[in-house]
Amino acid sequence: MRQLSFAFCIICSITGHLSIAQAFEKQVDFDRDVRPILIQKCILCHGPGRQESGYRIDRFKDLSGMGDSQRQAIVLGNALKSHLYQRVSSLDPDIRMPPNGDGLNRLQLDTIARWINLGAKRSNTVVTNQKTDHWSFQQIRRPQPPRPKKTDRLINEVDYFTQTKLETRGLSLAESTNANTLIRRVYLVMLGLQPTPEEVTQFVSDPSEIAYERLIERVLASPQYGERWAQHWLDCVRYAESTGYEINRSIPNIFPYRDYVIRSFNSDLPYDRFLREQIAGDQVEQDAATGFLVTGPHDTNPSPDPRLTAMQFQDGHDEIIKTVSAVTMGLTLGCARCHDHKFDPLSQQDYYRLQAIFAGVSYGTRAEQGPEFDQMQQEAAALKPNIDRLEQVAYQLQETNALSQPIHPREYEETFAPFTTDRVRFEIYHTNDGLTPELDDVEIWTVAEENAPSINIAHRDRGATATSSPTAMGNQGKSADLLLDGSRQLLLYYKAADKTDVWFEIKLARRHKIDRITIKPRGRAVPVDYQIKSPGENGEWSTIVDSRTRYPHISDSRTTETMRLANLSEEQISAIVDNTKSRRELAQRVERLTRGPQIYTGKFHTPRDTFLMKGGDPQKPAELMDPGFISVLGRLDIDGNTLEADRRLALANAITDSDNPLTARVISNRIWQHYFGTGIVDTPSDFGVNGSAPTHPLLLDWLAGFLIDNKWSLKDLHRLLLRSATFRQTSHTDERAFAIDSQTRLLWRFPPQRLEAEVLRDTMLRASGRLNLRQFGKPFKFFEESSSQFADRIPLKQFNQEGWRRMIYGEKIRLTTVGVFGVFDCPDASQMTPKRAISTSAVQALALYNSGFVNRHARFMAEAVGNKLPSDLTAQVRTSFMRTLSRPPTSSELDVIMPLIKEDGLESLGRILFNLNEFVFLN
Amino acid sequence: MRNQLLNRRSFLGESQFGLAGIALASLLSSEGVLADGSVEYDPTAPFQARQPHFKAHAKNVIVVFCAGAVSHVDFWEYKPELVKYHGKPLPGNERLISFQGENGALQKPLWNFSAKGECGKMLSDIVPHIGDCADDICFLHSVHTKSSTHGPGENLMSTGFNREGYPGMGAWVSYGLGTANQDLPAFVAIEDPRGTPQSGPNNWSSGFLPAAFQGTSFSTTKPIRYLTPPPNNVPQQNTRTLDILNTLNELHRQDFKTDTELSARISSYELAAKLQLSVPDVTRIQSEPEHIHTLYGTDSKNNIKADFARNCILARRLVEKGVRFVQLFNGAYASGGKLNWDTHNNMPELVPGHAEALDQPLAGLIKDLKQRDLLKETLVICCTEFGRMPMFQVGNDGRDHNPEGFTIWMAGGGVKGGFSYGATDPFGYKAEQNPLSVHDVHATILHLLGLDHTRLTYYHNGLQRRLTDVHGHVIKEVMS
Repeated sequence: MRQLSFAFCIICSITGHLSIAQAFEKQVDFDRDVRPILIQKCILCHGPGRQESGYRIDRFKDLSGMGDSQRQAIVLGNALKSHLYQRVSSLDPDIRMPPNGDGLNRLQLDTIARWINLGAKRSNTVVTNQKTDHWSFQQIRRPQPPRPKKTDRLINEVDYFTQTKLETRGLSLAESTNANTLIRRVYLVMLGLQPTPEEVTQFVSDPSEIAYERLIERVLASPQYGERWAQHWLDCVRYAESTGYEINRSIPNIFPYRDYVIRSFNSDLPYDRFLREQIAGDQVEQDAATGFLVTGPHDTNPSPDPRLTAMQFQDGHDEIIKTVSAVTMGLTLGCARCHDHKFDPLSQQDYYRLQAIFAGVSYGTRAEQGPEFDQMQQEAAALKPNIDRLEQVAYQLQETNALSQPIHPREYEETFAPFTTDRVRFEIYHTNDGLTPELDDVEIWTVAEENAPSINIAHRDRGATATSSPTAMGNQGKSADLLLDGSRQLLLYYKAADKTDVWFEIKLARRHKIDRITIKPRGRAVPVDYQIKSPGENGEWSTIVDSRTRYPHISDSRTTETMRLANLSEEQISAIVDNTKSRRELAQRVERLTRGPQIYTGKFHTPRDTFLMKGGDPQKPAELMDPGFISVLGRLDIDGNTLEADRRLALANAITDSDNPLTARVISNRIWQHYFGTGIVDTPSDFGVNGSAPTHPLLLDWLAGFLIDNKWSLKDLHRLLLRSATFRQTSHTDERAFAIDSQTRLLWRFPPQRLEAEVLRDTMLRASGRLNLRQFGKPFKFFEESSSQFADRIPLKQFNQEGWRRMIYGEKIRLTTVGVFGVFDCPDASQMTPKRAISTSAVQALALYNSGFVNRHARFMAEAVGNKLPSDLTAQVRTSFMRTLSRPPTSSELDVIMPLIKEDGLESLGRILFNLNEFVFLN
Repeated sequence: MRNQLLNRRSFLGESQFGLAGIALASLLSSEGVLADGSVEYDPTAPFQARQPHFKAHAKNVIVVFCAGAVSHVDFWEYKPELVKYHGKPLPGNERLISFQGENGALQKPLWNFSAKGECGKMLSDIVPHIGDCADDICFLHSVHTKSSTHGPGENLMSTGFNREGYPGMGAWVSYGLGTANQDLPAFVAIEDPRGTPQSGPNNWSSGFLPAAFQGTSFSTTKPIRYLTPPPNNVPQQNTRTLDILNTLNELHRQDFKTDTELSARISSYELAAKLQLSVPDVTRIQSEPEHIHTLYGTDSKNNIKADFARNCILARRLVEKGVRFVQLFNGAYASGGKLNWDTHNNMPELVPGHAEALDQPLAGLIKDLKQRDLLKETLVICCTEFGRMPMFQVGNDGRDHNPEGFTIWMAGGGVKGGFSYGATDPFGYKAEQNPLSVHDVHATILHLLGLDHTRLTYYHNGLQRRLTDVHGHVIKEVMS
């Protein structure tokens, strides 16, 4: 041991001498000279794991900032004033850092001092291990575009990077593609639609740079741009209009989020603001934006089992955490739910700190603030006096007709003169809403006596039993015994099978003297017309309670025909019915207005406490967690007392801080991917150690820097990419290049890509002339309305004008596959799909070749083309090609096609065109 | 029947490149880019049969999924203590709250148990035909699961995760092994004619695997979508159209000779043509002889039974033709215990109908496979999403969901017959002896197919994913 340390010292001193020599020659290099000292002496107490005295050195911002001492750690150019240097160089053992063991030696002190005096030039953040060393956690570099050898085809900075990389493999950018292909490519990438034949003709006749610039501006200004790029975003967040899981209930009012995303892309909302609004848009009157948080699948099956409910909460929040971390920063934080991340510097604490940020968020609807909301509140206020007036009338009617108080739909009492009995019978004739009667509980109370307080003897623990007319055969038991369980249960309550001849009878264990009965209805299906009977002391059945002496409750929807009230004429009853109806309708209207326009964008409430769950098991809470950020990326100035919205705001700001090394890289990469099929990082929502390495790391950083410098304008990024020669290359293959780079990752050509399901459908509709470009609003249906929420969803076979809108406006139901196009790897929104799988199957061929949809639109196209050009068959073929492939047919193609058209008609050409590889691929 | 899609020329034959070789050539693999998954396959022929990791016991799998949760204490696991303590509360859990609420007293099995087969296995008399097969069956009595709701429970049983969007067992297996018959899908899901199970297509989803590995859903009553051309097309017209489609595709391909996706699309039309012939053929179960129909019970007056019997025959015909994985559903969605096994009330009336529908057809399937000598290479699994409580629910004659312990059984395919493994506690509530997770069952199924569950992986959102998540132990004890 001793020998080893001795040997170590020798090595140290040798390297030390070398450093001295270097130090005089060059400037101090942070990575080479300073970093090792910090790692050796400081990191254990001031790193990502621990931050003694609130001071932390693994991020440059923190390293030079202030800890709890409130003194600047690094004063640029002045080591003596820098707290960091003061502490490490102090001769006072109580002040000197590190507190234990050897301090910094003279050489090390000298290095730190010189580094600060020379301006404390930053470089990469300090790193501690393989996990934090990972490239994506380092600051975004600002590289100069490199200088490739061959420059004749280069247009902008993008090309300088791609060409340089290609040259390392002896490759080069390819020549530009032809004008037909280029305009089609621009349209498909930017709008998800092909250009019209007229647009093609115009561009082909003048494919100048100016014309191309105009084309770029045209697609960027098109309303369809937002739809195309919103689809990519919605894939990432797995937007859907049903909850998923076995209930899979439709969510009819989440579409405002979809529309928000489309509008944001169209208006070029700066990307950092786009993210902030999606996390905390409720704070800036962008309520629809927070739909982002609640787009994940969630289990809404209600159960009284606390274990299940706890699991549902954890699962629901897991979706939120995964969405936020993966979509915005490419972090797979979901992996840290049960244990520290295996590959990335993400701890289980990080996971639950984020859970604490969202601890006050739940799945559900809330009012969208704005002019509509304000308008509704004004209307509600204006209606208030009318309610008061009607209440007054009701009060008078009750008084003049000598009726008693209405029932209460959740709990009320019937009292009567004391008597002794062992059985009580309810006969129910009508409910408030006309549904078959339901009740949670009935309690029968004894008369209180000295030493014997009143007790409920209608309880099964006291030997009571119940019989009844037939009860409902729902999924759950609904028998009359459930009236006697002494508790309200979510699913276990009494429900009759019928609406007429309904009765139940409670038999007590023995005879009791009773004087009141508590009735606990369920708010709905409340018995309002009933009698309670009992054999009294003499054994004769008599009516002890008759509901007809009560004034009707406001929820009572009986008509003059069905309403029965004691000793009242039809006329008197009619007046009461009218008043009740008016009051109810008005109250409902006011309630609806007061609620405001409800949209499914999450509910916010006071956060519950968050605990780290051992092994991710909701039954094993460990320490209480404060809200906070992912520690490797920094700290938030919030704690357990921070208000709900402020927690989300703090997180949103940290994610969109221009110092965050991930956010700008991740979105730049996503945009790149949707041009070239594959991102610079091929795992677009995983920038961690297990994700794939960037093919063009410098280019990615340059793009991220470009985005930040251009105020996070995505349209500026689009202009850059669209102008590049890299984008405008031919997609034709090259066998030599292919042998070197079969996946075209280095972009020696524009990589051909199979179109997504949505683009296939939309382009087919545009070709047939039936595409309806109406934007926004309620989705159109892919499935028939279903009677049971559980039953199979039957695909619609025919669509009309409404169903010919772009597919992004089609109702997205989880756990289903949309007919024809679903099989083209269209995700069902269960999992985040930042990159779609591309597969080829016979089922796809069947769908495109045989389906009614495709063949119908082939016919529509033939009709449209035929009507325009009734006599010229060749011109019809030509136009069909232009509508589908954006180019005229070649003569050899015409030779093949014309005989077929003459035999089978133009319609069969549409079928062929819609099935062609050239139609199904972006070239 | 005339083949309407089949191409006269084989365009793939002209390819000058070894397509498989090209697909795997990747410049970047040397630069640390992860392959998508552990299985190397030719994307132009994703179903080509592949070698397992080690010698397989079974070649094919038929999973019979009893949707809605079968009561293990009434059918498979005999609990004398439950009879003895009938009417008493469950010791230690007197007021247990489960999925729907409070439970009442212990309830003895609703039907008698008696010794079956040479092994003398105690089984319920309500499934006498399955009882006849007792010597071929291996019971796993100690399975437990993570969720007490049907959807997540089904998800876990079929995909290894209670969440949605993960590949089904059949998708993993066809990804790992391909299939023997290129004219039929590798993975077929046969739904109950009464409807889709609770988790619907998520049970046979390809999840994040390429969609090609998704289960294809069809049955004797429900055809494959778009299998036939639109009604107004005459066959000659179809063929002409396809010829020209191929010619134009071939002209287009001249500039893209290296692109396998384009060739794959061209050949997918050929595969589609084969499906058009093979699927109607395999679903034509009328061609089976009389004694086979009698064996399965297709002549039953109980329509549900007759339908299930026909689907059992279809399952056998599929594996006989080399289909790798069949998932056969017995039961549909939540319906008050009418359309599936979810019997929270009225068990004495509802369950006999379900039992009758399951019993003879499933036993017929095992017997038929055996007489054809197919049982030894076909693994038959009878599973469900969770068990049911040993108590009736309060105020009710039905049992609530029980994720703590239940029974799955297997037959053939390399498992011991007449064998039982694991047990719940004396009342049938919690798995107690050799508890088994669903992941253990999955690991075992893969093992029987010659696949190491830790090596069958696919990259998705940060991880090389597996059917068994990060869990699973092969149950060596059950192997013959």
